[in-house]
Amino acid sequence: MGQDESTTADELIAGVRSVQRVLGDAIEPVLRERPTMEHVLLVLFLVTGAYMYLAAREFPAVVAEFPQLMAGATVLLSFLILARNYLNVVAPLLTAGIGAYAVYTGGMSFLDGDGGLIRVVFGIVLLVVTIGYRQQLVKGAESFIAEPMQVLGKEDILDEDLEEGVEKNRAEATGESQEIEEAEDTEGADTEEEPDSGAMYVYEIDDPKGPVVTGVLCVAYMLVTFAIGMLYATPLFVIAWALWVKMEFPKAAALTGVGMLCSYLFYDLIQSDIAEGWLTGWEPAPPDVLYAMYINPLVQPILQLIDRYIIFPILDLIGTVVPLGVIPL
Amino acid sequence: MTVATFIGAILALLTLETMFWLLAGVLVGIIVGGLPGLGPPLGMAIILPLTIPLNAADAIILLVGVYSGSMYGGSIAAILINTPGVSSSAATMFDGYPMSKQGKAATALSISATASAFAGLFTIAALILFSPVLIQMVLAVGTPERFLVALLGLSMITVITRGSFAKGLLAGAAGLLVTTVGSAQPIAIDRRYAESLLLYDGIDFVAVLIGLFAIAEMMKLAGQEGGIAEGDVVIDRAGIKDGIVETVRRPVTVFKSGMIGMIVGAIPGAGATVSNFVAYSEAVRASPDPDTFGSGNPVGVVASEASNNGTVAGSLVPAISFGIPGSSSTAVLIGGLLMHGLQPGPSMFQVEGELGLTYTMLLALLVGNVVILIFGLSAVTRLGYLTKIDTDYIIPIVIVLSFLGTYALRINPIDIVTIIVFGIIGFYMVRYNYSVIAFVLGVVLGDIAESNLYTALQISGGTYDIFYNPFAYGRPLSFVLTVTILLLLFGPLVKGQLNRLRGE
Repeated sequence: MGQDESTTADELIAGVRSVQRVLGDAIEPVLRERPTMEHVLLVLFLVTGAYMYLAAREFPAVVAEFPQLMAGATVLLSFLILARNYLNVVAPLLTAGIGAYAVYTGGMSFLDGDGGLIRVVFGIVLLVVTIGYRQQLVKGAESFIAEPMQVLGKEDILDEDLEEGVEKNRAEATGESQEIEEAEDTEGADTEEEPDSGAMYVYEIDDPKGPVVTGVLCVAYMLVTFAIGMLYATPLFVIAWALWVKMEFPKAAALTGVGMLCSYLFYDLIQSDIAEGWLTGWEPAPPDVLYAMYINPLVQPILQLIDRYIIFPILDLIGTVVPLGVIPL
Repeated sequence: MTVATFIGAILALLTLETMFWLLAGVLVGIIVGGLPGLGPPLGMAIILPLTIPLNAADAIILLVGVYSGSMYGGSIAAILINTPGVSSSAATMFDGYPMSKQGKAATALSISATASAFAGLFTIAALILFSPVLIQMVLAVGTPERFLVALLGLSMITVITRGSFAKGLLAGAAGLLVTTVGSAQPIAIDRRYAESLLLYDGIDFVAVLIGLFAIAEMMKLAGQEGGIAEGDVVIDRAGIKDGIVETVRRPVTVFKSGMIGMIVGAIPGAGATVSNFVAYSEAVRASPDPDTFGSGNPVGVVASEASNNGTVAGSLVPAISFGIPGSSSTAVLIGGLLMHGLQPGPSMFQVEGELGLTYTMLLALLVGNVVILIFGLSAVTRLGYLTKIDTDYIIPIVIVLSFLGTYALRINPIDIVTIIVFGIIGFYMVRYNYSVIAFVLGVVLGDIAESNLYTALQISGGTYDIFYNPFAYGRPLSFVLTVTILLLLFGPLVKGQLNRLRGE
């Protein structure tokens, strides 16, 4: 996927990066670390969890409890990870808040004669921990939330070179050696893009454009599918991919043929509804119908005109490719 | 009655059509496993929608064939180009690739085929022999225990999570949250979160799996260069016999590694990647000559390859018994069972239920390992071709098959949105060390946990005593499971705090 020369895509990515940089500079003091896509992921979890928690209040009580519990956990954990640089404040506050809530709701249930004693005890324990063991609570929260790298900090890591060998041996025995080796290999590759991410995972991204373009092409594939159905969206996706990787024409044509064959087999053998655009309700004529039209002598004069005035000029523009031709009258 | 079912399963397997699907599954698995960047869950996820026209037995046999075949196939790229075709072959690289560089590629590939097949054979045979006991155990488990077993599976997140504990739990909770969309089971109350009718049946978990495994993996692959052999590796046919001899001479290593694979495989979420390294480490520990590991010691390849095929048998136990995936691949297999109207759980072990299919599946795996042995040994000299296929061709075809397969399942546009959204989420989850398997555990176990919780509370009249009071309902197993879950959840935290206090 080598794309060495500067292209429009490169310019676009450069523009996006400069916006990223400005945003990053603005958000960094708040987060106390350089924002990365991890923060976007966490915000996504946080917002989705909050929305689902609130929406679940509309459900009948019997089916609302489970989603609210899960949404609550998602919100809480996302928030804690996002606020990992403020744990000395957030962890005691949150623990005290949960403790107070448990005491209140448990107490109300207990007074109503509906149980709740365990919740009260749980809440009191949390409050006691918050007040009496704050230091330990914060340390516990740090080890619960942060990656080992983030807990240690850069200086500690530099000081502990000696321990690295020991850690590597341990990792080898527990199956982490591959990850560590890859992380070491990729440190350089990733630092330029996301320099302060202590949580950076482990695999190599040689070309950051690759995943982005793949994602964009997938979204385009989806939109075209919704418009004209998957039968013809599929070869269009393959053509777009072949153009992106600058595949040689014969190989691209063969790959597009394979894509078309896949979609046609699905259409013919498994599910013919894939040919219909969901948004438009339009179902383009499938290849067998097109072929029947194509060989129909009545249509040939029109096809010859289309060939002469549309297809051939386009092919001339693309290059010196031999056209498929039409059946002579 | 069980013997009659077993004989019926043998007869069902020996039909021409079933054998064809088994053979096809194993061969597709070897190819998928051999292509760098692909792997068993991805191969199975793509194949899954293609099984729609098949009957349930053939579909499941095709899927387990792919699973078993790709476990072996992963070693091909690991040995030839130092890139594991699947992560469960990562330890194979340590000695397989050095052997390849020493001109012993055929020996290493032959060891891989033989060790994979032998370990696969005896672990599946052990599972079949053990099945009467397993059947009794599964049938003794009631609704409250099934909820607790599902919870136990989720608690395994604490075991499988490396690095940040909170990230593992967040992934699990988010996975569970996904299952709350759509009508709630078992009482079918609308829970769509939005007005759209497209969400009535919820988010299809097959689409989630395809997004997480296929689209995310292809995005990752699109950012990587390499993974394709740059030079030709010499594969000399003469080394094949040496490989067989090397394996046969080490029955203890094959047996021990296979058993490690089987046991670790049965732990939800652990999977073949973990068992692979555990077995390799054990082989190094037990060796009188540990310094030779990493520079082409055949024992390393034997241990690694025996363990990952042993994992297949182990991971099937929680999958078909309780619907708990032992690995990502078995998560897809559970998807296949559900797609074909089969419910993992007691019915898979009842004579009047699907016991026949369960036995057919296990027997198919047994035969599949023989196919691996025959194909692996006969195709050794040609396996190098697989490593030379450019990822530029693989990526669009995998994406196309993922889209087509997902959309064709239900013709629900939400499914396409799902694979893209979860593809992108999966890509970044892996990149930032959020456990994808914890997320998958949540997605797979959400419905099981919630529906069994609901039914158990119906039985107990709404009180949670049924889960922890061994006297009130005469359910000691519930109590044991609850204690185990608490130990799993809080054990690491308590241990960490105790260590910290001791240090201070």
